[in-house]
Amino acid sequence: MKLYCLSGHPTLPCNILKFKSSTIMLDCGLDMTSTLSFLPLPLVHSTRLSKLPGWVTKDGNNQFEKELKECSGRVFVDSVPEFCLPETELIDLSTVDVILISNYHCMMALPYITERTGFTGTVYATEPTVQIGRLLMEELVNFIERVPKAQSATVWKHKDVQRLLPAPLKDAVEVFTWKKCYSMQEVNAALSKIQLVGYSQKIELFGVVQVTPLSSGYALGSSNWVIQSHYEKVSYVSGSSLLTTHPQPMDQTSLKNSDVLILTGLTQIPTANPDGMVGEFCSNLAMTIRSGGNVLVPCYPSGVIYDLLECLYQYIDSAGLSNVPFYFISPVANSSLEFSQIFAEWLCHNKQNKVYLPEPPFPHAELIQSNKLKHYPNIHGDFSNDFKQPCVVFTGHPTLRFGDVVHFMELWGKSSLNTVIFTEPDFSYLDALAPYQPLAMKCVYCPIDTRLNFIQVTKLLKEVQPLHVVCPEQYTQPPATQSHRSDLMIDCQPPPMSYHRAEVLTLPFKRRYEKIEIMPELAQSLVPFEMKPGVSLATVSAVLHSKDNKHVLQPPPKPVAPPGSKKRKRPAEESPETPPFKPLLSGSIPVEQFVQTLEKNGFSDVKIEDTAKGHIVHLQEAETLIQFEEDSTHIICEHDERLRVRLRDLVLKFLQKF
Amino acid sequence: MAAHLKKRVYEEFTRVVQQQPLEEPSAKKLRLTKPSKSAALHIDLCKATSPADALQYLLQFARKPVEAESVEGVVRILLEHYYKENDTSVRLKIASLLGLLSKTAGFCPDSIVDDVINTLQNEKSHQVLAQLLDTLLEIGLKLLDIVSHRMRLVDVACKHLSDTSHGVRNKCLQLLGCLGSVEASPAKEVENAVAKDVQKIIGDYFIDQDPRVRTAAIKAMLQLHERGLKLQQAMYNQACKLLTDDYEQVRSAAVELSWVLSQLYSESIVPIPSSNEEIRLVDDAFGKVCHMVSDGSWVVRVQACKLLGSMLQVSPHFLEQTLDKKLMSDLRRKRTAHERAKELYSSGEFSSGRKWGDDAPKEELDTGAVNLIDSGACGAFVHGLEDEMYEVRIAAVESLCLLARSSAPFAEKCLDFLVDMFNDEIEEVRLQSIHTMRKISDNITLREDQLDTVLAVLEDKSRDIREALHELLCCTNVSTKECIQLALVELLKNLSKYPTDRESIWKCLKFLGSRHPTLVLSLVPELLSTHPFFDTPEPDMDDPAYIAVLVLIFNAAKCCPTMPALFSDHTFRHYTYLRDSLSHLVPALNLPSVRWSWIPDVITEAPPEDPSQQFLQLSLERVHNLQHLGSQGTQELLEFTIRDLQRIGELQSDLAGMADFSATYLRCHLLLTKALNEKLWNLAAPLFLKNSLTTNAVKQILEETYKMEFMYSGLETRQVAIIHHMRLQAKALQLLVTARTTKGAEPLFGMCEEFLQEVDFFQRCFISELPHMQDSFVDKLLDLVPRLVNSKPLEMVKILQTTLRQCTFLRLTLPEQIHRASSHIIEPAEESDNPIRFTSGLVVALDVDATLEHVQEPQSTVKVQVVYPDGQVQIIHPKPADFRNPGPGRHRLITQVYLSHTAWTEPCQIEVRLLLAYSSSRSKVMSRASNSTWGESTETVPSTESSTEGTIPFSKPVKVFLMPKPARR
Repeated sequence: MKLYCLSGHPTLPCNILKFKSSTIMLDCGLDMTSTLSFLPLPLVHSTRLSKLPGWVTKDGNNQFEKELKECSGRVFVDSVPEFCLPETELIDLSTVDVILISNYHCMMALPYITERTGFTGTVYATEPTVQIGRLLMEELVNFIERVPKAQSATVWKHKDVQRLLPAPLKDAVEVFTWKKCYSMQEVNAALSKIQLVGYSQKIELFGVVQVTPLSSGYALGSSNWVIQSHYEKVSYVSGSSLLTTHPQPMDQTSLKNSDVLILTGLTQIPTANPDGMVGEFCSNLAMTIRSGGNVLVPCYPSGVIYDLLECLYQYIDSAGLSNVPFYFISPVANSSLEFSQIFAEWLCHNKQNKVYLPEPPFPHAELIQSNKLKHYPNIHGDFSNDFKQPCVVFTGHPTLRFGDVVHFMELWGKSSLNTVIFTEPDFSYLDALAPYQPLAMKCVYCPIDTRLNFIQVTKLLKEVQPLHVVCPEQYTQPPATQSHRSDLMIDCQPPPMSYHRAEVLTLPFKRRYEKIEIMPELAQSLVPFEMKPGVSLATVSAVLHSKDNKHVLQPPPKPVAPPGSKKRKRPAEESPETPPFKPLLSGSIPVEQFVQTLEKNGFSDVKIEDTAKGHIVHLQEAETLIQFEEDSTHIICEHDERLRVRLRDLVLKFLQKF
Repeated sequence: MAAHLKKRVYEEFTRVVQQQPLEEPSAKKLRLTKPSKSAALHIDLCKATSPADALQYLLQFARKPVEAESVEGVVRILLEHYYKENDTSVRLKIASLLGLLSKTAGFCPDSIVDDVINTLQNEKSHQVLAQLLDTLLEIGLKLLDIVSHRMRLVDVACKHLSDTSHGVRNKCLQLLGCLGSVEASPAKEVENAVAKDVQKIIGDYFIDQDPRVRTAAIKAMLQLHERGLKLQQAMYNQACKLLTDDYEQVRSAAVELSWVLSQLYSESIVPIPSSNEEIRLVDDAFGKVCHMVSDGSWVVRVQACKLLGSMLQVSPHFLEQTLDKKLMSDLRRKRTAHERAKELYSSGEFSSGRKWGDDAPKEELDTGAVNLIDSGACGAFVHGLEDEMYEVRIAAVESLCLLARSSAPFAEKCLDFLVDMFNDEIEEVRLQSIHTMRKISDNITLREDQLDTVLAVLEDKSRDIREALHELLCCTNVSTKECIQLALVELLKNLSKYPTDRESIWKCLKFLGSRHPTLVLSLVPELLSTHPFFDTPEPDMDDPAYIAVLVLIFNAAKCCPTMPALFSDHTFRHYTYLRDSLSHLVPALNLPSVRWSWIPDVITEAPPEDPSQQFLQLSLERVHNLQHLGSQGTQELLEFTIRDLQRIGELQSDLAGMADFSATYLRCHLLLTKALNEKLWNLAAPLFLKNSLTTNAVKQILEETYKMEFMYSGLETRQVAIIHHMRLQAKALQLLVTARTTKGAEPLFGMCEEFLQEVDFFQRCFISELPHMQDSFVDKLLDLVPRLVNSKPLEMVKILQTTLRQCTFLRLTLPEQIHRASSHIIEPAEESDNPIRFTSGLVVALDVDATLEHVQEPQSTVKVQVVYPDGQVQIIHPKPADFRNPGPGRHRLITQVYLSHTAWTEPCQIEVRLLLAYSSSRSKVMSRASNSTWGESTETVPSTESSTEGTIPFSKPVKVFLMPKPARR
């Protein structure tokens, strides 16, 4: 049992588990932090960006001038943004049998895996995961494709020149695995390989193992997975939450009794309390609006935005903001808002109850109805006619490198009245803002990450009691910025096994048993015989039949009736012609006694040799060896069959038969 | 002192120049300085203290390609490490690296076959074993021609087939499928014992216990089929059994296998189980594949639906069942009592009478064969077209199309089903069914109710669907005049709703009219709203709807001589107007009353000896006979010829490319000659003032040469060489002008060096063309190169000047066809009065719709240029997906251009036009040249995509009125 770790990012995992004879990929997250090294892609040609000076090394080497641009002291690559893929070379990905997806953020690399590696298997995910994942991918492709760039930079990636570059680029890892965005065809092809599953549904993989998704409470349709065979159980926990937000609460009990628990996707901001952040978000928003500025919220089109809208719904009337418009701009804004309302069965209890009233589970339906929240597919078109300031705009992408948010940053960045509020925890806000410096706009950082924090994890681990825990190495030590906080790491017994990118872990347990079923007819014919109290034995003679990795003992085939027997003939009395079975032997042979017996029987010069595994009895006269080992006994004698039989009978006297 | 220094610098400089052209930039030399790959790897692997470390080194190593010559060394090092390594993951990586290395181009892996096979002996890990077999497969594919190696690999695969791991068995089967011998194994040969029957071996694994192995076995068999082995018919039964497997991958592959067999043995006869009847194998297979259309897994359903379309040999009887949902038990007919009695009789057994009912026919029920609904071919398409997955529906429509094209009666029958698909919720399905309908339209005539459903699609918001439907209407037959009227009404509705469809609708009506002249005839008075007694008001000639009606009528009138009698006076006038303005839509009519029609009736087919073609050749010939272009007379002749050529180009559209091309070339020459004849050259003293005329000439020639090179398609190397030659001359002239107008020699150094590089480059690229360039500028220049290289700039300028003046006119030979790239912006329309409004600071999207002709690779070359009122110019790259390709040489660009401007309050006009971007590296000749020189460069990073060097405008600019408004508060 091995775990191949393809991604080093703790919240965007990609691991491959080899378990019995199946190869299971757990999640395939796409690390988008790589895009922070690139210049933003503006929708409309930006004079500011195009006038940025090219970067020249200190000794005047200008080979990077065309590819690298400098903006207030930082250097960016002027090219189409690229993403950091999981390690694809560690193992042949065409041998992967299935991919299990835990939530929609962790499936963004799927098209790269399924379309570019020869993958032939199936992908399992819940319905909301697929639908919202499709929205995220659609948005991403749309953002990147609508503003094509003529050239793509490659020179800076060369290993020998990368050393010369300034800090963030110099340290960029695995630049060779960085790839441009996939196309919509690839997305569609990849998504068509997904099979939908529901919580607690048991899925058989080739009869080898059984996988089950469990609710993880982090997002709509997010799941943890339990992978079990008859005697082993591996749990995979990724992106779980114990907070009551909109999704179904986490299922913890089914994780109990795991041999191995793979733990990924904990909170990225362990020091921030989500509730407090929401409060801060609302107050900052209100403050900016009151002073006549606009608020920009870079966000994903699904997820935390539902909760934010719900909070704002309760907040705006009390804060007197009821006539301020909220705009949600994304190519998939409409689908996202609508989808959230129809996934009733995946929502938390209160929201599910609302559906029966019937009422829309999320209050943003009411915001839309009262025209407070408006959504648009893009910044041009209708939005341009309805646009009214001051306003709040929710739009993507949180990296600030592509999407409509780029235009708003350029438009509003110059005024100190406006505010940009970062809520997504995936990207460092300072890095995100770097290419827009100098910036007059106010920046507020209220990351909202509802995933498990370390206190909750410790509690969870105590409760489910896994034999072993596997986690990314980041979780085994406190974060670099707060090295004194020893509480910000996983603490359990035995200490967790950690992994990093491109590592292969051997999981510490061996499979010992395999389940074999006995057909009822055969079971009937068994005659158990009590060895010692409580332990009975029976000899079974049967045919082992394997089909689809299930093993069944069937009664041995009856001897075939000789051909040519006429139909009319009376059925011959079939004598139960079971072939004579050799008795089974058990027990061990005490060497001294055996030698005595030998001497009694006339073998004189017996020599005993001790070996690593047992003993060798040497009959020098007869030139015969008798080897006793733990699990076998050999009598090696040449040409003298009678002697062999005599010796055999002597040996058998010491063994129990049944 | 200063002078001395200067001299030294100068000397050094010249020495550099001297070496530059002689020394080829050699990539090999660079490589020598690199440390050998294999050595580096060895050191790395030895340094590795733990398996994890070694793994990291290997991963790093895998990123860089290895040269063919050092592959073997690397393999040895890897193998050495392999034997030492205990960790499976490292061995696994080494095994996969071996496969990767053996794929290296130019490396023959036969030297490492033995080593890899040896590693298999002692390997315990199944995973590594599978990976090693994969490596062997790679090697085998490279050594496919060497029989002995192939046999060995097949033997190895057979040996490992009994492995307990499914992965190993899979790989073995794959290896057998790809490498197993495909020659029909002759039984007589002695070697036959060695040459195993691959089919038999693979066939045994159809009943493997692991579903993945079963799939691999079927796939291997299909692979053998693809490689040309004729599969045995006996396999058909096995394949059919696999159709009921529990796993969808197996079923999906089995469907394909049974389809392959049905194509191979279509006419063999197979018995129907549970009956004495026999049917053709293809019919039986068709029934089985049809049954799979109602499979549980959509992947299998798609597969089955797709394959149905290619089973053309199936009997019509079965084919028609697919559209009928009624259940028939044809394929599973129970034997009648009579038949059973007959069987008993023939077996010679009679009732003994001892037991009652002894001889009653027993129903033999095979539990495996019982299906709740074993439908055979029944209703397969009905199910397929109603499937919940749109992929299945698309596949079903495609198959329907293929089958209908081969069988007219079936086409007739499936029409209703197909028309229903026009209402599908998925756009792709609608589009597909419209295309299908168009393809089978020869066989069908639409009824009114069907037409009604078809026309409803005209309201679709997708432009593709509407245009597809217009094309469909172009080639459909309708039955009644009501149908024509219905179609016209709906098309006019479409026209008013989507005015951009104008061209497409007119074209559609043109064909509709010419296909149904008699039906249109009865509608004419109504359509033209004429009245026997009263004069009706004359319709507006600019109304697109009225033009649409007229197009329909005039095209019908072409085949219907009685129709013009129904026209009123103004109709005739409108005819002449339309015939002139829309001649591609309105045919020539023989109208008695139209006397003043001066337009030639029919454009005569250009005879092979077309006078204008002759004229073109003659005038070019005349120019070519000129030796020197110095004199006044020849210049005039050139001017006249250019004028003539331009005129020909305007008149004769198929010669336009050629004429324009030659005219441009001549104009370049004229400019060059004029520039050289300037008086300024005769002055001894250097001029320090900018001579605008000559510099302009240089600029213009350079521009024209770029146009000639990149705007015309169909050029051969000869023409490209000539264009480059012209450019070289222009550059020489530029050098002269600079030498004359600038002070001091310093700036000239760079220019001279550059120029010499160009000459060198020219020589390398067009070495094959040089013999055709006798006495030309470059010919003379190449003779002088040794001298030029050694001379100072000013001397060089002098030499250049004399050469330039002495050289002869290079004759331009024309290839068969030259087309000039052109484009036309349909949308935004010129001079629209309604401004496009948007909030200042935000973005407005401008729809651009343009047709492009004779543009090669428009995705990378065509750009949109926007000029703002403040003179700001932006170049926008359209998405590759925005280009469609409606026909050879034609492209259509439908895109959105995003505009924004902050400091802007008044309504203003912006200019939009299309540009053709070029870069010298894009030129075919150049890339060929660079390939041969640096072809072996093996860096992983692809060379930077050709960047744009310049642009040529190739459409008329269109002005668009934009009105920004301030943001609301």
